[in-house]
Amino acid sequence: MNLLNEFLHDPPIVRQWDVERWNRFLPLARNARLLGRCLYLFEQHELLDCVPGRIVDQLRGALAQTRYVQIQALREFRQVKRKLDREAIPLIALKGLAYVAASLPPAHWRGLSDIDLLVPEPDIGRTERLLMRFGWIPSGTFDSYDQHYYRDWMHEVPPLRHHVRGVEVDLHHNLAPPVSRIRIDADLLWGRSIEQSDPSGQPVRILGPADMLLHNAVHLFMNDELRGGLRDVVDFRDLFEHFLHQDPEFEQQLMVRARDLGCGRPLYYAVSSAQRLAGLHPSAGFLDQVERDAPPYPVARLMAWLIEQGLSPPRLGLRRSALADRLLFVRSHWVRMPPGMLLRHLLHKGFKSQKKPPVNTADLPG
Amino acid sequence: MATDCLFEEFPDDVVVFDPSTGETHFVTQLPALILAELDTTPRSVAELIERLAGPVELGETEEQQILDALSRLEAAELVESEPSESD
Amino acid sequence: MPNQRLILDAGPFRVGVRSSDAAFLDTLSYFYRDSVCGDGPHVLDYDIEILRPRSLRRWVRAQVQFEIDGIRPFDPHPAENAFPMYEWGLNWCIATSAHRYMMLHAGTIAFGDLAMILPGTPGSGKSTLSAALSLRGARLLSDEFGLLRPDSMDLVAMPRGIPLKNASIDAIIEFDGAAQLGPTYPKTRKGKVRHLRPDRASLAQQCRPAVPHWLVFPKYRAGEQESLKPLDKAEAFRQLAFNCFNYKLLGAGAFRAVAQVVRQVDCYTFTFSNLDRAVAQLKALTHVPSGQQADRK
Repeated sequence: MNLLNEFLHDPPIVRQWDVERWNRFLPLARNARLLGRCLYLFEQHELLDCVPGRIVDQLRGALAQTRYVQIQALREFRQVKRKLDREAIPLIALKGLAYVAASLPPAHWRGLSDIDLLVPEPDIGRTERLLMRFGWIPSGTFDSYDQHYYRDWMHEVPPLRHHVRGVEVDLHHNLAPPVSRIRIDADLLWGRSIEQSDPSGQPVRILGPADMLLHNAVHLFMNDELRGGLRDVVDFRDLFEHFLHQDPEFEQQLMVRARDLGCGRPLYYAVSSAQRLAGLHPSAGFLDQVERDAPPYPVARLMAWLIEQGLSPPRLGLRRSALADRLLFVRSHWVRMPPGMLLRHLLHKGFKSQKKPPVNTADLPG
Repeated sequence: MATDCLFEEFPDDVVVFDPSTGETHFVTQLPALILAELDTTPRSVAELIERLAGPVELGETEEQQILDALSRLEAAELVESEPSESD
Repeated sequence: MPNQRLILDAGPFRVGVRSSDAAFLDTLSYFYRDSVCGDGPHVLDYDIEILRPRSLRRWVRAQVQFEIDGIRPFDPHPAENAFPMYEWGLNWCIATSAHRYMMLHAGTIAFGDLAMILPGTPGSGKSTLSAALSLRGARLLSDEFGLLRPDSMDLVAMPRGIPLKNASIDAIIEFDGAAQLGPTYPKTRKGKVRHLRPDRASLAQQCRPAVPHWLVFPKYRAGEQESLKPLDKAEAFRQLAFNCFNYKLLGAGAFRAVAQVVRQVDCYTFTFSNLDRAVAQLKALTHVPSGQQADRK
């Protein structure tokens, strides 16, 4: 638990913060992509007068950037939807795009780096071909192994982006890959999906509330390596509180739905992480039920440690424990792939560098 | 679409900001007139040409200029074409 | 040498700089000792470290790295280029986060409290022109990083070392033999670079904003006569927007702000080849006789 988690648990704590804490806070919030969220928390709790002016400026700067990427994401979504509508291919907006398009509370502060869309499995090949006919191209280079990985093992076709606009589009037909240890029946997701209006008044289909939360949980705890994921935990908390406020029976519905979709384990991780790290206050009854899906105690403890290492480093710049890194990496693939495939995948990945090229200073002003 | 745009007028040009795309466009007179015509009501291409022409009979080149301006506006996402019922 | 830390004000930004590289710290002090903050805890915008890697490259063809928030966004540089790397790195930090401002790729120079904005792509000569104007008494707000506050429509000062490249170095020395220049960096990614030290008066007034009053798009053209021509406002809009780093990001606010600037100021293009004549002509525009120190009060 670091300074950022303390703040999320109890925002008024900043009234007691000294300069040294503010200086630790800014890089943590920046790294966790929570600058915009923090600005809203300061405003909601009437704490702005305690926040140093230059930090407020940094937060507002981040929010300006967020507004821009949201506009570009919605624009991209409309362009994709227009093409798919003509072929009568339905689609569901997922994750950040859904929050923004349906004006859920995170829309105020939620940045996005790409858009995620769910289409029916029989239509995913057709969708990819359709988009590529109209100017979308593969985003990045993928060798045939990567293609195989994406298409056959995962739940995604390799990401696309429009050749002019450049926003990355990720197409999915399920929330958990077919080869993973979690099997979700996508028909159930479509069955509970709902249609809303986006900010420009156009229709947008999103997952039902429980499914949206379960997707958040599955995405963070079953797919990625948790890096930078505190934002997703905060999303979970914000959406949970929002839906509970709209419907006092929400906790029960979520529990039942998790069982129906086989997502009890990721829900356990999401709820326990949000409680420990993001100030979520679930009812005791709900917690008890959720904990029934926890792994055996030693695993649960290890996971709690790994999650904390991954999402809430005590300070940036301190090297996360190398062991934690390795365990997380292996685990994230373990949850997605049966053992034989995992070995093959790890061997192949070992020969390729995954690092993004750093910024070239020749492009900078000066 | 055009109703939400911001306009800044200069002697020979109109600069348009489209909040839905975040793009800024420099439109000279003809595209600006088209945007103004489509501001509140969608129109068919034939109707648009008729309204822009007024009492004047337009030649082929002039009609083509209108069509070209329309395609550029569509490419800039400032106007949208929809198939009509007869399509 | 153990790690030392300095805290200095780069215009509105308070920057912490840590390093154990003695040469780098000396250079930093040469340029910015007048804007170092006193003791006492300071809230920072950016906490930067310039460090030597823990590898062979610490000593053999030694390198330095730029670190912010525990990450290293750039490739390492040769150790002797630590100062230019720091300057460019700080620019990157500002450019990627300071969207509270409209950030212009422009020199901004104040005559009293009125400012001239000199936008331009690399090669336009805006930095050299800004350097020359500041050497002849104008107040330096920035040489290439203009910061406009859209809410108050004023320009905030951030006087920094002015990086002069290749031929501009000689041009400035010829223009003013007493110009205070820092070390020469013969092999940076932009060629040979030397920085002009920001003058004391400009640094002392870095908290004082200025109001835009002239918009001049400079274009260096070797051998050509100086020529100041009024510019059509729509075209000025187009070029000013083009020279604003975060124009698209700021959306409607930037659209309105750019329109307001071009409407309320006089807009020009300016071709020049000789710094003496260029400075004279621009100062004439502001009705201030050449060489007077009146602006720096």
